[in-house]
Amino acid sequence: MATEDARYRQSSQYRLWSFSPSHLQSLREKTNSLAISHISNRLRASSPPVDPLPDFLTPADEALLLNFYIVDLLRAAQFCDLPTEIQATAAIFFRRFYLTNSLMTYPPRALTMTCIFFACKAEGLYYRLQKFADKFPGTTGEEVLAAEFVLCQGLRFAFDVRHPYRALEGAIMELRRLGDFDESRLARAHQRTRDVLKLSPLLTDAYFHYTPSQIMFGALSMADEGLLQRLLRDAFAGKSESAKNQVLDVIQSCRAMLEKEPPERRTSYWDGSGSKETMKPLNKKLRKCRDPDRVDLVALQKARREQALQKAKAKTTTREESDIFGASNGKIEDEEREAKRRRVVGGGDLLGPPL
Amino acid sequence: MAVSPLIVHPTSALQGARAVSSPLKNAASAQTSSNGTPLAVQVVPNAAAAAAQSTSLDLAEQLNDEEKRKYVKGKKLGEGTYANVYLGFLRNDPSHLVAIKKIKIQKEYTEGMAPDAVREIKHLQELSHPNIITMHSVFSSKDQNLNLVLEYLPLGDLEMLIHDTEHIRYGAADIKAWMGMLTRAVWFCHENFVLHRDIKPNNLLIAADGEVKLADFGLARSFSDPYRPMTSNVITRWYRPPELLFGAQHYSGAVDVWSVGLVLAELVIRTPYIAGNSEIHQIQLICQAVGTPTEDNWPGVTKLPEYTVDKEVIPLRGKDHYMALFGTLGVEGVDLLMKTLSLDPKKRITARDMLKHDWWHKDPRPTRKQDLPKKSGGQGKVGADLKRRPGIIEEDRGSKVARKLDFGPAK
Amino acid sequence: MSRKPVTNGSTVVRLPTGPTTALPSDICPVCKRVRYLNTDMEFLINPECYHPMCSNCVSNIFKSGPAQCPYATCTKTLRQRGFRSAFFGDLAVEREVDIRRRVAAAYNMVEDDFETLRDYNNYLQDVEDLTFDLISGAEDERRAAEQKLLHREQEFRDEIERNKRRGREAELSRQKRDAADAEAARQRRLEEQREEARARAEEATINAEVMEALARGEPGSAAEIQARIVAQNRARVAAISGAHFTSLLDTGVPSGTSNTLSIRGLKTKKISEEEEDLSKPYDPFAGLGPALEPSRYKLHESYPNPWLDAARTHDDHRVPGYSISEYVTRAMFDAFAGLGVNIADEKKDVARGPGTLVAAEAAATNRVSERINVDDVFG
Repeated sequence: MATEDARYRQSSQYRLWSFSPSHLQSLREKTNSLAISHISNRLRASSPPVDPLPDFLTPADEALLLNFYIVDLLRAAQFCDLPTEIQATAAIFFRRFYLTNSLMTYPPRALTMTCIFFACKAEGLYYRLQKFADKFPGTTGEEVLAAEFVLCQGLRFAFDVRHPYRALEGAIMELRRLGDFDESRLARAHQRTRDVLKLSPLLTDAYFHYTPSQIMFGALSMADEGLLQRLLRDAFAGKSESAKNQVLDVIQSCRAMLEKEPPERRTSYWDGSGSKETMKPLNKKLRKCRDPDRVDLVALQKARREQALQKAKAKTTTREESDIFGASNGKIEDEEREAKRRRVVGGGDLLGPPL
Repeated sequence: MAVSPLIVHPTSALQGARAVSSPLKNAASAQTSSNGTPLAVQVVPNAAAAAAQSTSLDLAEQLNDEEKRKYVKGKKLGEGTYANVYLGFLRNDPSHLVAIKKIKIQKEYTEGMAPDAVREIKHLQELSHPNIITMHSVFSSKDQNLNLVLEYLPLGDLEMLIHDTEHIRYGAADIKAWMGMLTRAVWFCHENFVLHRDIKPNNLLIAADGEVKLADFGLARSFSDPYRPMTSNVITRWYRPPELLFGAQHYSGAVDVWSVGLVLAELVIRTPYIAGNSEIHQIQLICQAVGTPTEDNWPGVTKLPEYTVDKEVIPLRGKDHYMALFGTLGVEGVDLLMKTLSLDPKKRITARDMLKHDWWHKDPRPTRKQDLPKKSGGQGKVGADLKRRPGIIEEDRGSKVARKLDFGPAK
Repeated sequence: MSRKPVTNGSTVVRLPTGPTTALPSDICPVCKRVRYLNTDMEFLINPECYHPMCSNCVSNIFKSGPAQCPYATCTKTLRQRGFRSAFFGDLAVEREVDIRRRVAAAYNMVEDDFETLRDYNNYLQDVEDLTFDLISGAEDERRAAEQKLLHREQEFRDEIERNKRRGREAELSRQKRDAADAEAARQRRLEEQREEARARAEEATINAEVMEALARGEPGSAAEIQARIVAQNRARVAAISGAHFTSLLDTGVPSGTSNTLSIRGLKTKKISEEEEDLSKPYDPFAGLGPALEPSRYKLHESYPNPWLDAARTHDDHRVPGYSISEYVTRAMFDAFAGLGVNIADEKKDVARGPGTLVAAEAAATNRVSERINVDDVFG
């Protein structure tokens, strides 16, 4: 058993967010049908009741729209000059969220902002909310935050997304160390693979079905098959031929998936008349069948917060909570000045007297 | 045990869910519930849909509920401004206790979920090791509060043991055992490319079986890729290494190793070794305890953004200095301590090399975890506590009783 | 009945049929020597057949090597070495005891080795059955039991050794504890004696002081003076009595080393854990060292990478110890971690969870149970 594989299996990406293709399919269908029935109820129960019910999105519709919005998300993230990893994390958050939530239930535009903002947090880059909102005219900080909690819930509170970018750096460094390839060849492969990785996996289900290592090797094989073969040869030296071939098969099928969304396609999502034309009617359809309760997430969030605070007030006597977040109105870099010396779990007094 | 409002029964889950999903449409909810017929009857003949609909939750909410239902929340163990901690247990196995940390909505923090909650959840989800606190699950409650289900560690933390000089005695073998656990925890974090950045005795919790667990990942983060700055304002001041005090923004696991060294020192002298009351003071104390950082012993240090030291240059302390203070550790122990307190982070020992040091294989052998000192149960005389092996109280009484009834040969 | 001729030409012994069950009291059945004439005649038996004969017979018959037992019905070949004196007069008992001793040596597990009491009792029952067969079973039963015993003795030599060692250790610790108890008791008795002596001495000094006080002409009666002096002394003693008291407790019975082995612990695991701990050297990695070593690649000292050069040389990275090797280790790990993981295979059974089954069932009956346990759909 390879130690690296055993360690990978401990990650939340493997445990919670990896699926067989059939399972993924059934999850999407279930999400879609649940949403349709809930929204139908709500539309019927509204005043006046909506009749006849609108056309609902099919799972296939959702899949198309999903990619459209992810490209949109990547553009927005690029606009904020966010590093590649954070862009990719935001895109994966988006994709994961819409596995168990439907596009009809939660408006994708709002989630786009929230995903980017939360991806920054998750990766340790603390963007001030207001500065972020200011970058997108017409968006308020409230709107960005409104979906944050439901996003976290949808992510099953697994915030660590593992990407293939550093893996690529490792592969190139190893190839260079071997000294059998000239630098220009490596540089070309490096560039090409990186271009593929920045888009293709994010527009497919690659992250659900393959590990970052496999995604990286799949993309590398698109750029330069020989390099892949060399690395595999060394990695499986002394092991059975069949083990290596099995891995090769997986990498090939990953490559096939990535080839469906090569980087060239990115522009076609925007300018190409083809995509825009497909998207317009779909967007229209979406507008008609949205969940009425969740169109305005800000109001929803406010109402829930109110409820929660009411309950808290009723239960305990209001205690003046110290401003533990201190000078958080200050600079952007001071991520840590908030809450440091807190005794939360584990402090002797907090765990109370011995049982 | 107080009945928690969060013990979920199927029906209340339904109502709760309805409330959550449409507080703006209370009328609608009331309507469906007032006529008493279950939802399933009203809707489309699609039977599968009907089945799923009887909970009006979407899939994500269902999954969250699943998680929540696995645990039963009990009495409150503690309360803080940041979170409340409750005792809980697994619904399927009431003997399996957990601590449920419910993070409160912070009115003051206006940027959504607090960074330390994000960090703690993110890293505890990925780390699984006997010397790192286990996070079993995370779920959200109706009121949008985060609930972390953590290991139940009832025996307090290492700080309590260290500073209870009146009741707790421990020796070199115990120190070695605790250090082994702490070093393993830090090593494992670093192997998984995570910096803890808040190591101190307060964050080393003790499990019922004596195992020490590293907790509080609120300041943790992944190792940084080059050129990505990190903040230097981490780690509690007394345990903070010089590079952070000098404002460095690109550092390595060595910052945690410095903290580990200071924990070792504190275990020996039973008081924090370098306890400054300001950052300047902290630097001064480091100069006195270890030596002044200079271009000689740490090339380039004078160029760090916040480099300030007193005019008086104290030369690096030698072995004799440390042996005088920490002699109980023995020659190898002192050697290890000195390597963790190297001023230049590049020369500081790594966690992995710490585990390869000779100290672990010299006498005394580290105490077995079941034999380690535990906090005094407050049960009475000092003598009684010293005499009894901690934790085996019942058996002691039992053996005494047996002796009384033994009519056999006198001992 | 036919008998093989005895080679050394000793007399043929005719005996009543059936095994003898008692040591002869005054006549040796083989040589017919009489105790009256040989006052120190000693009867020996050989565990092969338990036929008693006097020591003279033993040396006469067997000194030049193995020979057949002189008893009429017995065809066993005996050796002089095998003879010993019997402990019990009743040879049947002697034989049984020998058998039991041998069985117990081979089957020497203790209650602590078993998960439950019932298992232990079953074991005891089996051992007793075996012993019964050996002692009084029919020919074939006895042979079968003999086989089992031999098998046990050979196959489980190691286990038997270990149990023996443990038994010895337990015995040793018990002895130590007893010694400690005895010592403690003795100390206590000594203390008491000393206390008494001290008390008497004190009384004497108080009396002396009272006399002196009276002689000096202090106010009050003798009783009052005495009371005063006693009170003063007590105050003095009280100041140090705390320490005195605890020190007594300290020299008391060290009850930490109680009977940990035999009181509880039915599980086989518990004991092996303790044994494990102390017999193996301490592993600072607690066994996890190998699991974190790379298996598909080797980490080298340096990896040329122009992009990293700045991080190697710039002061803001170099001086505070930013570690290029940490980065490289991570990049290499990322490159190969999960390479051999086949998600489609490993996750294919997760989909067929109870959630979907219940939904299907509910669909079929168009009824819904209270809770749809949509189990962990994600596996």
